[in-house]
Amino acid sequence: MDALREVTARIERLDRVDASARFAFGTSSALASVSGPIEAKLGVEAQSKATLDILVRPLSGIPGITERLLVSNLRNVFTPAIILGAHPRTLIQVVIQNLSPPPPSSNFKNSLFETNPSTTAVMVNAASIAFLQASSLPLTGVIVAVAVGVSLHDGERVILVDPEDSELETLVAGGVFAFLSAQPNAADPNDFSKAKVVWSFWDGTFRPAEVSQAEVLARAAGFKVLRTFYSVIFEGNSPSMELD
Amino acid sequence: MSDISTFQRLHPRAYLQRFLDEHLRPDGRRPLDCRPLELTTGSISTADGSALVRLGETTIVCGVKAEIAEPDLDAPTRGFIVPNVEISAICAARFKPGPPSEEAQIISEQLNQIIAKSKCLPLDSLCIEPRKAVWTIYIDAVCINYDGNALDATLLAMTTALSNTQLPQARYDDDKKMVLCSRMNKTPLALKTLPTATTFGIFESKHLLVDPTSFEEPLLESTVTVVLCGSEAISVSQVGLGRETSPSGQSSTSLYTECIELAQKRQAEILRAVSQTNL
Repeated sequence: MDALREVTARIERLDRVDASARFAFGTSSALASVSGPIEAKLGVEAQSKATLDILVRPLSGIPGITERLLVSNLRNVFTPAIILGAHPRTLIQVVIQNLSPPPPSSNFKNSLFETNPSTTAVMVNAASIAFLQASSLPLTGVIVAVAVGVSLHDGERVILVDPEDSELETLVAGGVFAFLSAQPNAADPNDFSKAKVVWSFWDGTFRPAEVSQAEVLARAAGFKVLRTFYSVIFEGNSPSMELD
Repeated sequence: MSDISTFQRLHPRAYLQRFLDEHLRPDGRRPLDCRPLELTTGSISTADGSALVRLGETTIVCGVKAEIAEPDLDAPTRGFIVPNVEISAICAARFKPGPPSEEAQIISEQLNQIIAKSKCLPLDSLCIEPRKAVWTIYIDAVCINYDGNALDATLLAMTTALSNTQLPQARYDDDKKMVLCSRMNKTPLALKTLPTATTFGIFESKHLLVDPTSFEEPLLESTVTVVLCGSEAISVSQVGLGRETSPSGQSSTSLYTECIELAQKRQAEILRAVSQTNL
């Protein structure tokens, strides 16, 4: 119940951006690129800090209103993590391409989540690795995100970390927690307890106590994700994401 | 010439901080007080239902229009609900004329999700004849004075307008292949429990402020929104770092609990105001 699906992360080598990375929980996956600091267009230039521009591309079609809502949330997630004042009047551009296939069944209009909340979590994580890899921008910490769901099994509510697409239909509540880990120390697991929740959303019908429980589980899982980040960045390990 | 409003303009943070040091806010409220609420219904005679909501200075007008549409093939009995909010240039200087601002689009999408997930108006209840005709409910809200917390005010305007809505009785005539509506008989919508939203802001990682104004909004580094539907919470979201962490690192948990409790009190106030309006 508190296990993540297979976590895979890889530094990508997109040519025309400063850094790129791919991150996946099982089949939920996303590719992110970071460029910056680069020249800002006159309209978006801010006098005292860098402008953070995030673009989310859906798997098919053009970005719509749901992507816009996601972008505004992601901007709020990454703003406290980047020291924007270090490069005033520049632009930091992040492009996140969603690579998660849509849920297989067609009955999703009945369920709470039309897409797996993990789709959002992998986008945050992919962008986060790209920021670490870019190393051209000073950060205040590393952001990791984990999705959690509450599923109803025979009248019993079970909290699931990183729900699978096949479990979506049973979910009665769920959401995403993003943590900002400011003094990351991969060797000391207790350190992640200081990580702050920088963004969370929780939908469905639930009791307040469940949110606290979910946060504890997400925090434990978030630490595992953070260690994956380190093994990719510092040791160059790219666990089992096949080349394609 | 220097007076208090110059200080407010030049040093908004210090200005707000001075007030909060005295446990007050610039408009005279305590940090956990909401602004007074005023509701009027049925003021737009051309709409099927309407409401005007004033939350302090924030004013939202909302009209409900019903149209007949053909249902989707894979959901033959389900109607449609289309909420939209317009935050135009007339409501505050910082909004520019032209296509809908990002803020308006985001609030529209949030409202859409809240109304869909709360299931306050079951889509099946909008069916006139399966596979042939269903109602489409357009809920259009216009902000005419923006003084912060547009989400809470707009959701309240929309739910009040929905509870004010009367649809003509309609039946599908198989011979004429069209929907016939009664001129005389009107029925209210089959509404279930209405959702209420309460927004909180956190200033300087310390002060929790309920129902922020447009002066306070840009100064808040985090916001928490709680949506309640009856006795259940249906959505809680936190954007930003929240309050300063206690050594145990469990800040957000107690923050949620506190916000949900305050939202429950607010919900009771809102529901009382709504039921008084409908008398």
